[in-house]
Amino acid sequence: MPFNRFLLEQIAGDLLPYDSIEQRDRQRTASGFMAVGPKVLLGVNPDRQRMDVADELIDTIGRAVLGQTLGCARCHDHKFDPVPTKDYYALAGILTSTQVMASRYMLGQQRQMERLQGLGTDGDVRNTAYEKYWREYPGVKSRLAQAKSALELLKNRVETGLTTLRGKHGAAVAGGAMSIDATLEQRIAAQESLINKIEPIVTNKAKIPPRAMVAADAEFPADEHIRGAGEFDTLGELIPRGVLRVLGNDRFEIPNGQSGRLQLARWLTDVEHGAGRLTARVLANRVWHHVTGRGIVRTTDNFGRTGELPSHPELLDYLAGRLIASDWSARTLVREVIISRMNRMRSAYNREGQAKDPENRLVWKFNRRRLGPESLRDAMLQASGLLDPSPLDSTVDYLNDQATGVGNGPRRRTDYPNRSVYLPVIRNDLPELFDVFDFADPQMTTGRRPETTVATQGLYLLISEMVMDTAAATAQRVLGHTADDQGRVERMFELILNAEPDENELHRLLAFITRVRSPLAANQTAKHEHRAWAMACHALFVSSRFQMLE
Amino acid sequence: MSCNLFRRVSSRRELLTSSACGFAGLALADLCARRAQADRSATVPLVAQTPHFAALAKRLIFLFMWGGPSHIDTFDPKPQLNGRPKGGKALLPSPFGFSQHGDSGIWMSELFPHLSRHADKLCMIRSMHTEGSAHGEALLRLHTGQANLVRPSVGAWVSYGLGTESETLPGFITISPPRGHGGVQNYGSAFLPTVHQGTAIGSAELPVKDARVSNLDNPRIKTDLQRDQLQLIQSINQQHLAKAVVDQRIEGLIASYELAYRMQSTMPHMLDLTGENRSTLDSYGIGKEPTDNFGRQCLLARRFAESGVRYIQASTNYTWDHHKQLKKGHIGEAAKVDQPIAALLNDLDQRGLLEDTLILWGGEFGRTPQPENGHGRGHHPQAFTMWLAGGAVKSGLTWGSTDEIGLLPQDNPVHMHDLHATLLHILGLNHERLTYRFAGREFRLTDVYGNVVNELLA
Repeated sequence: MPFNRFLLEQIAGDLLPYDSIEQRDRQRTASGFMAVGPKVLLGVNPDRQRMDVADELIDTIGRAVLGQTLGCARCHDHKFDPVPTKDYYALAGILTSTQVMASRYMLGQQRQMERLQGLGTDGDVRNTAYEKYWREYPGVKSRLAQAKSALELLKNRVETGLTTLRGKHGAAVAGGAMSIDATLEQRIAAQESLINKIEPIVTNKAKIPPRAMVAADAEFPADEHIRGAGEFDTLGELIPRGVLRVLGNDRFEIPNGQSGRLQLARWLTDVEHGAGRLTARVLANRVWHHVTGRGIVRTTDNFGRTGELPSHPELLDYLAGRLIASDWSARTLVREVIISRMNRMRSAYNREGQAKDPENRLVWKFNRRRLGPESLRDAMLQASGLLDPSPLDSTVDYLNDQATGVGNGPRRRTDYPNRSVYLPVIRNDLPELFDVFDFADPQMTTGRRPETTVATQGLYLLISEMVMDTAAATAQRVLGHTADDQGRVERMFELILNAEPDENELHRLLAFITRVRSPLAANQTAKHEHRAWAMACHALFVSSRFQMLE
Repeated sequence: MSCNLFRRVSSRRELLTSSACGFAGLALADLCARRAQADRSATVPLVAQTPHFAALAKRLIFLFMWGGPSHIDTFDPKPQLNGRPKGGKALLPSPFGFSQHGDSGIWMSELFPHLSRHADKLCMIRSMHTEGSAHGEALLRLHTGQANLVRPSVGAWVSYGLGTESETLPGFITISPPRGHGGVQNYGSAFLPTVHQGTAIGSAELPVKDARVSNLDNPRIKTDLQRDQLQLIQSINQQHLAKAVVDQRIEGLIASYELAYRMQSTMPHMLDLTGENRSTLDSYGIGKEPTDNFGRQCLLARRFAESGVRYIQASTNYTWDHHKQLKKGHIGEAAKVDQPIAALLNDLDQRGLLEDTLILWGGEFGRTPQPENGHGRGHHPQAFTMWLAGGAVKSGLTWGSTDEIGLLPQDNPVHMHDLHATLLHILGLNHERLTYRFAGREFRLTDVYGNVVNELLA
């Protein structure tokens, strides 16, 4: 999918025409991008919440798409970049005219939560039925309990108690159970038949239907007032909805009755009359950043005056131009960077280069860099032969209603052998390896992750069951390859480091294997043999050779 | 410490191994990186180096009462609640008797018989106020100063500013942290380097005696084999480094593994209380109910404080939220923490640690003078009490006041931002100058707010 189409669906997928229900649902689901951000849900003034949600969206779209810190203009004109407060509230009007929150029933309460919509042809019906079921559930459950005690009273012939109960909970006692003409058996049968009707409703609990967070235009889109110092209750001038003037707003028009979100989404990649060229530069820079470990503009989310200048401005413009010329094909752009000379250079030391440009800002060598948590995990699984390259069916269907890591449950399951990119990312409850290795905070726009080298990472690699299991599986492959120790070390290097061991390394590994085995030489078993090789594989996983890409 | 000092050190590894403070070195590196970053940018004035005025305390222990203890039933007596209802609204008198304690005559309710014996060590702030009438927002404001945006926690800022005095322990440890109401955000590092995130020991819903720091015990490999394996790893790394000639990342990795190995041997020792003598354990109420759990937390806090950790938090479970039956609830909760807290104050004092340790006690908000569900109270961020203790603050002081029913602050209100500014000040950090550059501007714990409450300082 071309990047401009992708962005259009993320921001306004719910407003686009469609040819099939599948396409409609895909587009709607994409617009969930507008709804997923962090919010304060309880105990907040609704007006403040509305402005805070819009602020989060302006900040996210600003930094992620435009590389601009627009959030600054909420309280005052931007101190460094040409973004007046008026422009902020022009955008805010579009976003407060967008609904991402809705009142819905969840976990025993009617709450103001992210808006959800059912998917599929009867999605709305099923979603409504689901919420209705749980709203009525407490009542039905109590009715069942009352009906059962009525049955007991009936069986024990406590007529007065039965009458009292009927007075309080009429619906829990069958009409037939109170009939004067009927025999006791008939009355019991009537009550049992009522219980049999209620019981399955309580037993067969409604399951979550397919649904997704979906944005929608508000019923009555409206402009926003400037808020004095960003305080939601200090109203200033009313600002017509629009976009950033400095990037061109001359052709920006919002048809009557619409929020302007669709037009905003188009404007972001409009190279003639909108922000398209800036958007292309920001994206090209991100691709360069991901391939090389460092952006041409190192502050990937900030192209403003407080960000850094590009090291190679012409290169950035060239890449952005190629992206636009290829009709926003991100794939073409990635390929171009991957096959470039830069990416084929060695990372070897060079005295002259080191003296002139120790930071390698001018890219005289390949940047040796650390694998991120996703690559680290995938590479281990790949070496062990356990990696499943296919996606999980659904990352959320086992998570039930609340999947934010709130509450006191154990960590969510993440031990799937699938590629890391398919693991669920639940804010407040990241997979442990992600937590330890500087995965981006799921609540923040993070183009460039912090890079730390800390002891907890070492501890994780040295002791985590996942790493040791993976090493054990790798050892199994190594042992199956050949019976010759040297051949095994070579195979181990090939699987784990994609390299051959030099003499030193070979010697060290063989010595280690012998040492680990030796106390057990007398009763050497396959199990001990395997353990020695698993420890060796484990050591290679932990080594800097495995963790560094060069 | 100046950055020039840092420049003379030839590598990160050398810094880590030569410095007397492993983690502190990391913090210093951050500070220097920040300065270097500022140097590069012509548009931003040089950010002042972290202030190093003399610290009044070296470390902080925060005793967090999750759920919100009622100020008017603990430390802020309101006899007027017993009289007329104000403006027709029903009021709920405190079911507890209050009396004055110590030479200072600090008021406390009967809920804290043990603590009352240490009244002269305390510095009461009766005029606290914050925002957020829901737990989630109030917890985030208490722990990070903000609720609508993700920000570093107080402990992370302190770790960033000061590092740790320990070679083997991180700068910020949180014992039994809440997993709800913002969860990890309450001890997260947000945009600060992850090294400053709180190291969690267990979580609030688990008894701390069952808690572990993840990845410390290797269940499969014996210690001597582990050491052998680590030597193999380090030799591969050293050879890798030799080939690369210069690479700070590989050097950092090598150093971090050494530290990891040391931590692995230190942490289990830190968590193992069997070496403490019986009378100490008894004084904290360890081994009996209802004090065992919080007693262990307080004793662990003392052990971490002794070992140079800068910011230590101990948390109750989410159990102070008494919307109904407040009397029964508060009696139960106070009984869990009263003796342990008193023992902690006493223990620190006897070891000479109270002089340079700051203790902070409190919840995310107070509770309403009006009743809820009969004899309960609602959330009340508009006014509540927190207290401090330690050599840095005036002992026996009662600062600020609320109106006659405890509804709003009256004299000398102290906002949460003011408290944060004061905490940093006590630790030797200027809250306006402890900043971190993120998304194009400098951020600080107190945003654009906060005044140090100098009157609290000794």
